[in-house]
This record gives sequence, C-alpha cells and structure tokens, in this order.
Amino acid sequence: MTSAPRQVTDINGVRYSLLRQLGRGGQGAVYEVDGGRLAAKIIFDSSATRRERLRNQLTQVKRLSLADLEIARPIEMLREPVLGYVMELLTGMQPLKALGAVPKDESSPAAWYIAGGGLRRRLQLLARSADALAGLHGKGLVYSDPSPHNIFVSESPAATEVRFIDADNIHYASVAGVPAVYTPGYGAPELVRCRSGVNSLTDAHAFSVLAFQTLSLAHPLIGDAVNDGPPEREEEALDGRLPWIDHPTDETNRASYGIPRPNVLSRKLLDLAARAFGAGLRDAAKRPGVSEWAECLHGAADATLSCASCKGTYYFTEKLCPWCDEPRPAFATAAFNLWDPSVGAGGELLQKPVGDRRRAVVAAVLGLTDGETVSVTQRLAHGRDGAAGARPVIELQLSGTRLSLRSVDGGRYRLSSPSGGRGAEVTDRVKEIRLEPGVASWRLHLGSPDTLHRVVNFELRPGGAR
Amino acid sequence: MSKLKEFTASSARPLPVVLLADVSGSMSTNGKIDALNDAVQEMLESFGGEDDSRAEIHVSVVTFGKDGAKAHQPLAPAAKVQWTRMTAAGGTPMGAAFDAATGMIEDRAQIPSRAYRPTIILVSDGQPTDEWQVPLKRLLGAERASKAARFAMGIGDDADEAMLSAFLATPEARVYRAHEARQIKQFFRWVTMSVTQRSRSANPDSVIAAEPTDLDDFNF
Repeated sequence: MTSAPRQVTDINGVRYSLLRQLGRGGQGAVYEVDGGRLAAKIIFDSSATRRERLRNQLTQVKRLSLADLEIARPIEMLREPVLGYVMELLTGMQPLKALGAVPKDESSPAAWYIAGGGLRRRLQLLARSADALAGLHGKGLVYSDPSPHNIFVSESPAATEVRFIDADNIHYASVAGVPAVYTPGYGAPELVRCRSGVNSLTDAHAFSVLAFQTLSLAHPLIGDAVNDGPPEREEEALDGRLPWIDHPTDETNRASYGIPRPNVLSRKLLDLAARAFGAGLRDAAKRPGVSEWAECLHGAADATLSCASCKGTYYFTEKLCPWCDEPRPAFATAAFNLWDPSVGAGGELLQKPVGDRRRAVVAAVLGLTDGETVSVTQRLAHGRDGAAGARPVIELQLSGTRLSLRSVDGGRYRLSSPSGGRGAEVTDRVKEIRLEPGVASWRLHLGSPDTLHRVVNFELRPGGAR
Repeated sequence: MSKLKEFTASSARPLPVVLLADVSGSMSTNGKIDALNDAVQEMLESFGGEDDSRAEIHVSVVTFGKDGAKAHQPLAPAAKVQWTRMTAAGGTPMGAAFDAATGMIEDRAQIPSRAYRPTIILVSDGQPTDEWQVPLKRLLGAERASKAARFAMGIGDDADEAMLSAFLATPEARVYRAHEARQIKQFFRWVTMSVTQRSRSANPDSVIAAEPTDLDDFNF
C-alpha cells in the first residue's frame, strides 16, 4: 500500500523514520526503521478495542523474559493516530516466506532454491525457528500464529539469523477464549473449525506446515485436486477434511508440484510429517511437538554435504547431487558417540544391541565436505539445546585425507588412538590428523575421562559414482 | 537430467477484479478522467506487487463511452498489465458494460472455476444512456457475478445514485461519493486495501467490509 506513514512517534515522543516495507500480513505491515536495529509494526485496524488489546498484550510481553529466545522484543507502543509498536529487528532480514515459494516468473526453480541457501540453510533456519518456539513452549507460552510471514530470517544466504516478530501474538498457554488468530494455510484444523483456542499443539501444526513447505515448496494439505478445484475445496483441505498430499494409501490429494520429499526431508523428518499430517491432523495429541522438529531439523542439516559443482546441498546418503547429478565427492563423517567411564577398565563407547551385533550409540552425525569449515557446536558436543546449543566449540576442516581441528571456545580437548595407546591434544592452534578409509583413526574426547561424555569418531567415506 | 531440475511450483488461484469505468464525455471535465487513470494505475501497481502464493490478482477494465462498452484492458495478471490511459467522450452505455461484465465473469475460459470470488467496481459520473435495468438484473442473477464483491463510486452530483445502489444491492453497502477528483484516488485505495486484505484473509472468498475513512489514519 502507498498509504504508510513516513514517520511515526512512540508514546514517549521518540520519532522513527520508516524505510521500506519488510513484510505484510492480513492485519498489518512491518517497516524497517532508519538506524538499522529496529522495525515498526503498523496495524491497519485502529479500532479502540484493538488498541486496548495491543497495549495490554505488549505490557505483558515486555514483562516476560524472552532474552534468550529469537523473538523480536517490543520496545514501545506508537502514538495515535497510528496503531502499532516499535520492536527490535536487525536490518538485512526478510520474511521466511521469501524462501518457501518459487517467485512467479522464475525460470529455474532449482537454481532459485540453491541461491536462497539451498537445503542446508533452510534446515538450519527452520531448526532455529523451532528452537525459539520450543523455548516459548518451555516457558508455558504460545506464539499463536507461526507463519512464513512473521518469522524473519537473514537476507544473506550466508547467514542464519532468525527472529519471530509479532510479539503481540504471545500468550500464556492456559489463556482460554483468546481470539484465534492464524495465517491462512497454517491454522490447525481445530482452530479453523473454532473447536479450540491456541496452544502448543496448534503452534506445532503451523510450524510443521511451514517447515514442510519451506523444504519441499509444496503445501502438505493442498494437492492437485485442491489446487485445481473450486475455492471451497481449499477450505475443506485446510479444515483437515481431506487426506494430506503424501498420505500412504489415499491418493486423492496427491501433489504433482514441489520437490520430491525424500530429497529434502530426512527419514526422521518424513516420519514427523507423516505423524503431523496423518494422525495428527485431526488428533492434536498425536502431533509431534516443535522440540522434536527442532532436534530432527538440526540433525538433518548436519547430515548435508555441499556440491562443488552447483553449490547445492543434499543429504550424504545420496550418491549423486540431486540438483545437478554430480557424483558425491569423498567426504568424512563425524559420529558423536557416548563414552561411558563405568564400562571396562578405563571406560569405553556406550553400545547397544543392533540385531545380533552391538553398535556404538550415535547421538549425532555430522557430514564434512572437503574444503569446508564446519563447527562442532555445544549442541553436538554436549547435547545442549536452544540458543546455547549454537555456540561453536571446535572448528573442523577436511582437506583430502587430512582433518584440521582447532578449539574455538578456549577449551583443550583430548585425542586418543582407538587402542588408547597414543594421545594428542586439540587447542586453539590448528591440529592436523590423517584419516584413512576403512581404518579407525583418532578419537576426539569432548569431556574428561571419568565422566560420561561425547566422543567423536571420524571416518572417511568414498564418493558416489555416476 | 537431474531429477530436481524440473520440479514445478504450485500456481496461485486467480482473484479477478473487474473495473467498469465510465468514459463518457462528462468525465473529461475537471480532471476526472486523469484522476481515474492515475488511481487505476496506482491500484495496478499495488495489485502487481502482491506476492501472496495463494492468490494472484487479475484485472480487467471495461470502459463505457463513445465506442460503447469494450474491454479496454482484457483480464490479465495485474503484474503483467501495461496500462494504457483511458480517454473520455460520448454517452454512458452502462447497460452494455453490465452485459460485458456478466459475459466475462461467467466465462469459464477467462475465469476458471478455481478462481476466488470476483470483485466488480463500478465508477460513473452520470446517468446511463442505454437500457440498463435488464442487463443489471442479468448481472445480479448470474451464477458467479451475483456472488461478486461489488463497489460503486458516483462522481459529482449528476451520478445516478439510485442506479449505483441497485448495483450494490446489499443494504449495508453504500455508494461512495466523490465530489472532487482527489476522492477518486481515495476510493481506489480503499478498494485496493479491501482486495489485498481479501487475498490474504483466512477465507479469500469472504468479503471484508471496511470503511474508506479508516485509510486516512495512515495519511498524515
């Protein structure tokens, strides 16, 4: 719209110049504020009721401690006649929507997908979004309206910052009778049918839809029959009255568009989607929660490699880059196993029976593309979640058969040979070790020998053949 | 060929907007036709800039004047329209415009079944000079046109308010009156806001009732 004000004033008389529009929803628009660290949300419906509700809501939200969550903190209400508020938001951010739908006149959807950071970055952005939502849920709060319009992400494909805007959507989970606000296409069926208020499971539905869509560019409930049918059919689909597009047996709502799911959803993500849109569509209790999404999204992002040819990213289980058919290069995996000091003489890897054999328990696995620097984060090293989990501990770089390790958190970490006979140390100076295909190499210990901790086992893997 | 090179994207549903624009001779006075041209151009830009993946706004402009009723702008996605300015001359064959609109809106080849409910905007500064009652009845009785969201603006005191009200045919809707050219733009901003809000509302088929005055809250 051309009718946005150029300047707004908050209730304390502070003036803000508005630059470009960053995003728009049904209720309002978000503008970049001159200066670079703030944004203003302007709400179109300026009724007295809406004004009062917003004021109460922001007062409440300002009291909550959300500092460790990636939520744009509201700063102050705007002065009349404008209804809205100023919030924290860095410049260079755009709605997640920009990554979830191919622009109308795009000639190469695959090239566009890759240019936006490809599969890995989408997984990382979604994982961080799920972390923020899970953090809110952990505090007994509900976001109410997760959608690609109000999750903002870095514009630069090299960055993975995430901010939830619209803090006025945040409610306590126990609040009953809160008017159901949702973005079309993301409302849980029980919300659309007015059978429920907002809660963590309605958030989970919205999140699962936007995650599925951002990865596969297909809406899980809108298949060809819905897309080509009358608008009433779309209502039925969003009400949860039709099977989802990848229903295992009912093919009535199949979608011919979007990216084949197995290329962008890992096995665990496929399973989450099947639960969210299968049994969980009509029965909220069967839906996976957002923390489960967070865990699986992080895990999936870790299991990606970069293609040297097209710069696309894909799961290391594929033998060819699905974007350009380039054979997968030789790479390494870093398996995060558990060291149990109470087993054996000096401790050993925790194992569990698999079939008639015993296998080391794998807490996480990281793919290492040749030439790329990858961080072992607190999440991988110690199983920390949320924002704390994102802090880097050690940097790794694979170069042919050599692996460089460097501590970036000030810690010193032990390397041991599998027999335990030899030892070395990883510090803030680059340490290089040699990996040999098919041969167990050095183990990296991420904790002291007498406590249960994670141990990294590196393994070189062959490339794929065409 | 790699398997992912060729994946396709989903297509948005069309949300048709049909403008019935009076281009009779009287519209050439007091800058009315210029204001109308500017307002339509601004509306097209707003519509074209909408990038909702669910709805794509398509626009057609049917003019009625010297050359009778004709599709000055055939129905096309707003983003693709190259706007040609309208000129004003001749009478006010509004009945013919109603028939043209009915024909277009009921034509499944132009507006597919999957389209959202259309919007029809009627703008006039005078009295119909042809038989309009039967054509209006046809429009209001037609399957899809009858369900359309309808907006009407009368420019100046000569506008046939009774006829414009009959076009709206809903008790709560009112005819927007413009006494000066500037108000034409305001009306179009209101229509634009209604249409764009609809394109992202929970149910794009439901019509949002808003008052044009709300808009001024943002213009200061």
